[in-house]
Formats: sequence, C-alpha cells, structure tokens
Amino acid sequence: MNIIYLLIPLSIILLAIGVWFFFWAVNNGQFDDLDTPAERILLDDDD
Amino acid sequence: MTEERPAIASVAVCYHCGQAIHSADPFVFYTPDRQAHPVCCLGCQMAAQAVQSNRGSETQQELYWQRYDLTDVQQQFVHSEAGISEASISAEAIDCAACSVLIERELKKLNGLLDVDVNVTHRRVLFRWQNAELPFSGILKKLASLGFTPQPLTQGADTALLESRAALKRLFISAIGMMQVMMYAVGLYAGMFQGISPDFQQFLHVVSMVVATPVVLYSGQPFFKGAWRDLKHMQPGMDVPVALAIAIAYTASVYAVFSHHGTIYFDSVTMFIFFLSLGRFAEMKARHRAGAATEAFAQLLPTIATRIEDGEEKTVAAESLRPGDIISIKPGETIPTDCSIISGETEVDESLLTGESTAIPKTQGEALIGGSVNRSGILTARVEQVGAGTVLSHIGRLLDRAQSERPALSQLADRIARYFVTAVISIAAIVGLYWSQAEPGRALEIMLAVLVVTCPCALSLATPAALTVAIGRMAREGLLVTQGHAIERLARCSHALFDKTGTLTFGKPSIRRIYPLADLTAADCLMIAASLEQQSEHPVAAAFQSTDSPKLDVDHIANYPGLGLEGSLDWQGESHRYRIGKLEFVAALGADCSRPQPNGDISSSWVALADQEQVLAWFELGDTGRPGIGTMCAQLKELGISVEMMSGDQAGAVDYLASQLSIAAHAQLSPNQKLDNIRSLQLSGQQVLMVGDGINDAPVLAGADVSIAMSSGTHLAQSSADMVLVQQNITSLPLMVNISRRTMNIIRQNVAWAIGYNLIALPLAAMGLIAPWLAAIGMSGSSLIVVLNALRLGYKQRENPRTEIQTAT
Repeated sequence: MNIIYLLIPLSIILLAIGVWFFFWAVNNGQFDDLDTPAERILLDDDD
Repeated sequence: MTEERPAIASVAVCYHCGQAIHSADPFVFYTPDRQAHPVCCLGCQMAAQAVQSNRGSETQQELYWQRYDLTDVQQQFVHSEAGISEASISAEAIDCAACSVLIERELKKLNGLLDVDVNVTHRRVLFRWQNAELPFSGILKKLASLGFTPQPLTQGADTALLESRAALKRLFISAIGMMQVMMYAVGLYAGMFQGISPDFQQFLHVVSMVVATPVVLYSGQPFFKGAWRDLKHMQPGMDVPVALAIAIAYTASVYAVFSHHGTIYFDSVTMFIFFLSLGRFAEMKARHRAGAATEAFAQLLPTIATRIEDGEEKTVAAESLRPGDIISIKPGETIPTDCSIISGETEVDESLLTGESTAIPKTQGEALIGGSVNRSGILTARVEQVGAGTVLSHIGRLLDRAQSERPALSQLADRIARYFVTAVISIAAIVGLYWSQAEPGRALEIMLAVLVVTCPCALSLATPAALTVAIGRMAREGLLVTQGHAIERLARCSHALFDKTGTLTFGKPSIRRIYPLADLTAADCLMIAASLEQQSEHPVAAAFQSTDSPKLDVDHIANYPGLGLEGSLDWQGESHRYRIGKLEFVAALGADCSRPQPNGDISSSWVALADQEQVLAWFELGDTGRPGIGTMCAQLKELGISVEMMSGDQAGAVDYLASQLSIAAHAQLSPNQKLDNIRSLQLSGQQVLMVGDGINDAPVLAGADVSIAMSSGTHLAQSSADMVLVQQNITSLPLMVNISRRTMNIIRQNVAWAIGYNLIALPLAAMGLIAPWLAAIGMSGSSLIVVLNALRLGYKQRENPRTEIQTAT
C-alpha cells in the first residue's frame, strides 16, 4: 500500500500539467465562443 | 471527404455565392432586366437583393472604406506585427451560423488573408492578414459587399472577454481541487470507521492541504477582495461571512496538519468555493449576454469623421475630435458627435433615440445629436461635445447607474449577514471561554466546530443560486434578464401595461389580403405594386417592400403626397402607366371606379392599384396582432394581474384590438401621459409591469416597477428595460411570471432552511455534541441542499408542461 506515497504526488503532477494546458487554452481564446463552431458543422456540405 | 459529383454541364450555380445548387426547385433572384437567376438559399437571395439595391451608392462606399487605409485612422483598430495585421470588426447583420460560413468562405478568397474567425454570439469577426498584399479597406469592402456592414472595433481591452477568461480559470482550479480533495476525504472518512495508520492519515492530510491551498488562494480571491472592500467601507456584505468562513476553516485545517492533531475541513472549503464560483460564473455569463444590447448601443457612433483643417478636408478618427473642431458631414453619413450646424441644411434621422425614422429638418445654428443619420444635405458643423459629454454617452451612464443598483433581496441578505456574523463570532467566543474553563483540551475544537457548522454558506448561496438558475431558464425561454431585481419585481407585479404597436402587434403594416379584380393574378399585381413602392419612404410602402415579391425597374416614378404613386414599367413587353394609392387617385388614369372596396377588418386600410384601363387590385393592409395574445391576456388575469393597453395610436384600431382581447385600453397617449398613468397606478399601491418596444417609450420603461422590451425595438429601449424578449415571444409572459414567483418561493425556502439549520446546529455545536467530521458534512451539505433546491427552477414542472401556468406553486 506504500505505493500510494508515490502515486498521489504523481497524480498531482499530472494534474498540474493538465491545469497548465487548460490555462494555455483559455488564454488562446479556445473557450471564447462555444456556439458558432457547433452550428457550423451542420452547414458545411462540401468535403 | 469530397463527394463525387456527376460531371453534368448543366449543374446550376448560385448567382450570389457560386455554390452548386442541388435543389430541383431553387430560389430565384431577379435582376432589373427581368432575368431570373437561380440562387441556393433564401440567405443568398436576400443578400443579392441587398447588394443590388446598394449598387447605386457603390463608388461612394468605395471611397468611404478607403479612408480606413490612412495610418492614423487604422492605428485605432489594427494591430500589426512583422507584416501581419490583426483586427476585429462587429457587424449587426450576422445572424446565424450560415452567415459565418458565408463570410469565412468569401473572405478566404482574398489574397493575403491568413485567418478569419467569426463569432456569431457576439456578432464579431476577427481577421489576420498580410498588410503588404491586402489593404484593410479591401476586407471591409468585401464584407460590405456581402451585406454585412462592418464596424471596426477599437483595440481597447475587451473587458467582458478578459473577465470571462479569468473567471473560467478560477472555476476550473476550484473544480479540480474540489474533486481531488474529496477523493482524499473518502479515504479519510473510511479510515475514521475502519481504522487508519497515523502516518497514512497525516499523508492524506498533507496532500489535501497541498491541493486545497491553490484553490483558496487563487479561486478564493474574489471573495477576499470583496470582503476587504466591504470592510474598508464599513459595510459588511455577503462577501464578509464567506471570506471569514473560508479563512477560518482553512487556517484551522492547516493548523491541524502542522500540529498532527485535529480534523481538516479542506473538502468543505473547496466545495464551498466551487459552488460559489459556479454561481458567480453563471451570473456573469448571463450579464455578458444581456450586455450585448448595451454594447450595440455604444457602437452607434461612427469611428471616423472628416475634419476641416486649414480649409482642407482630412479624415480622422472620431475619437480625436475636440470641441471647437469644424467637421464636414456628407449625405448618408452618421453624425460623429454632438455638434451644431455652421452652414448647410438637411434632414436628419434620429431613430436611434425616438425610433421614428421620419426626417427632421435642421438648419444653420441647430444642434445635431451624435449617432443620428444625415439624410440629404452637405453640412459643415462645429463640434460641441465629444466622448463622455455626448447625449448618447449621458444616456448610457444613466442606464449604467440604474443597472448597478443592487436588488432589494441582496440588500436584505447583506443586512442579515451583518448581524449574523457578529452574532456567530460572539457566540463562538463565549463558547470558547466556557469550555476553556470546563474542559480546556477540547475548547479550541469546539469553538472551531461552532464557527464551521454555522458557516453562512447556505445563507450566502440562497439567493444567488436561485436567481442564477432562474435567469438561465428564462434565457432559454427567450427572455434576457439584465437587472438583478427584475425577477423579484416581476413576481410581485399586479398590473400589466402593454404598448400596442410593435408589442401586441408586429408593428409593421402588412398585406392582409390581395383582391385582384382584373385578369392579372394576385402575385403579378403584388409584383407591380412592390416595384412602384420600392423606393418610397411611406409607412405603407414598407408593407410592400417587405414581401418576397420580385421587383422590377420603374421609370418616371412620381409621388403625389397624400394620394399615391405613379410610375411606368414594362409589362409583358409593353410599357404601361400604373398608379397605386387612393381610389380616386388611381382611377384618374382612366379606370372605372364604380366597384366599391371589399369588406374586411374595420381596422384595415385600403390601397388600390390601377393602370390606364381598369382597377387591377385592392390591397388590404393592417397591423396584425401577434398570435396568441388573447390567451396570454386571459392567463395573466388568471395569475391575478390586471391587463391594460396604452397606445399612441388612433382610438379606432386601439379599441378594436382591446375588445378582441377583452382588456381596457387608452388611445392617443403621449409618452408623458403614459408615464402619468404608471405613476397614478403606483401611487394606488400597484406594482406595474410595462411591456413595450420602446419607440418613444424609454422613460416609460424606466418608470415602471419592472419593464420588458421587445428586441425588435430601439437599442435605447432595450437598455432602459429590465428584461428583453429576444424572440418577441410575448405570449410566454405568463410563464415568466410563473417562473419568477417560483423563484421567490425557492429563495424563501432556501433562506428558511439556512436559518433553521443554523438554529439547530449552533446549540448542538456549542454543547460540544458535534464531532468535527459532522461539522464538515453539515457545512457542505447545507450548501448542496440550497443549490439542489435552486436547480428545481431549471426544469419544466412535471405535471403537464402545457398547463404549467395553471399550476403556479
């Protein structure tokens, strides 16, 4: 069970990486408009 | 993923956008030479129509867009770096995703354009392009030619966007932190019942602290800042108990970690922060969506102007104008700021303020309002006010101030919070003192339990949670709430006043029926009539201009004021003279006018069309009432609300509609009289709801207890009202009243629960009966219950949604 002393800190590190990516995405404007891309898929007829 | 298309030479291509048309029965667009061209969709048909009607002023427009290439003007809007420029524009005409597809596809054809991003919700387009290959004006021209008049956006910080991003980041951290800490807490709770080695327990404690600390320090910032602000002004608001609870629980837990003794509350703290952040995030989103209306309002002023310097005309950014500058305004341009005419005569369109597009004559010495449109004359004017001093800006500030007034409920909650916080702290102190005498070992623990268990989490979540869910529900049903107190007041309203034109009716004269009298079909008569009326400014003309009928070129249009129009056009190869208007007028061409006009609605008006030989048709025009308003009035009465109509229109049409709806009505009222009406009702104790489209009604909307504007009205009106009906679905009003009443009920339930829970928990904690883990559960549980209760508002009531109105809680 002692492995958990390694696993939990590891998971926190992974979380931190995830958070870093999320922050990058927000700052890059990925979450600014969630509606238009969704509707767009319905319209494109070609390719 | 390209489709295989059969190589048939006769595949039709859309005249406007160039895409292949697959439909067997495509839409059709007529050019002035009566040639029919297939188009792929209604959007392209209408865009082609718009482009054609704009063609006349094309060269003027070219010159207009080229002014944006001047460096000092461009600087305001364009951000350039290493040869690549970036800019945003906003366009009111962007309605749906189809527009975004059209814009992106067409703009990508421009050489030098690197990136196009259309945001439909905010009606914005962002581009990136190589400025060596493509001038800024080229992009603007292309957009304009597609039918989307662009308004370049200044580079100033888009505060709403930044606020939204920061809030999203904070929310994310608190969500992730909460989930992790709760998982560790599961282990700890299990350990409490099954046994856990001290080392292991300490490890989980430390890890919980490591994860919870960023949540408290980063996501918790708004609460700490708010509490600090409140304390500095000696006005304890709801932020104070929240910040206090977070700080105390967190500090106590940290202390427990370092002293290897006691319970931790990190799970409760993170959960609390998450729920509060979620509530505030939803509130902010709703506020931003509503704020789009006021934003559009701010864009009514043009961004460039023509200043006369040393006798020469120079294009400058409108922002650089100063009082005393001399500017020149051409016909068709929007007046850039408040000014007074030095020379020239013209007519202006002040519909942004009054909603009336009838031209108002202005001459030398008269004042012009920034944002109104110059119609006919060339003017030289002196700038009187700029920026914050303009009429538009002033109105905007008045509205801002009205909006920042906090709703009565929040103020009540703040007052409760103040007493509550003082009470809890004093009780905790007393308890601590008592126990330090009776059983010193447990004193601190018990005092903490008292503070934690009576945490005002539930109380601080009670109102915001319910309001947020209610606002979201209403938004989904088509009503945008822009003022905090709107829901509360809507629930209490006892009297509803409706404007007629534009609110109960569509506000536009429309063709009710066509009675063809000769051998031409109704559609042909409509085409002739529409062609004659295409350039007319008369309200009746709007009825014809708004039909889908194709319009032909007309020669020799002559307008006879009060009587009608005359023109010649080619019909089946021959040129004929036609007249449209009053019967005597049209018959003067030679027709026999013995046949009387048909019977129809008493509120209709009649227009005849004739050529030189005979009366061809009668058109019955009327302003049709929106469907379902009769039922709506009945439902409102069932809810205990009296319904009345107030209108500036003639008594005939008003009384007719009122009798159809079985409600009282007042006709021919001026805005002041409408306001007086409201005041007298309020004085007799009624809570008044005003529903209008705001044309001339802005002060009336502001004067009522709660007001709703139609989104088809002026921007000014939408900003003066508390709520906006974005789909003009006025028949949903009884549902909205129902929702707001249920919201108030839920808020009362939540507050009752919060207070009740505290009254029970406090004595128990003071007596040392509450174990710390129980205190933690109590703290989280009470918040959860309040939130879940509020969520009930989001769903349609189970018992038969259609009769939801009758089952008011």
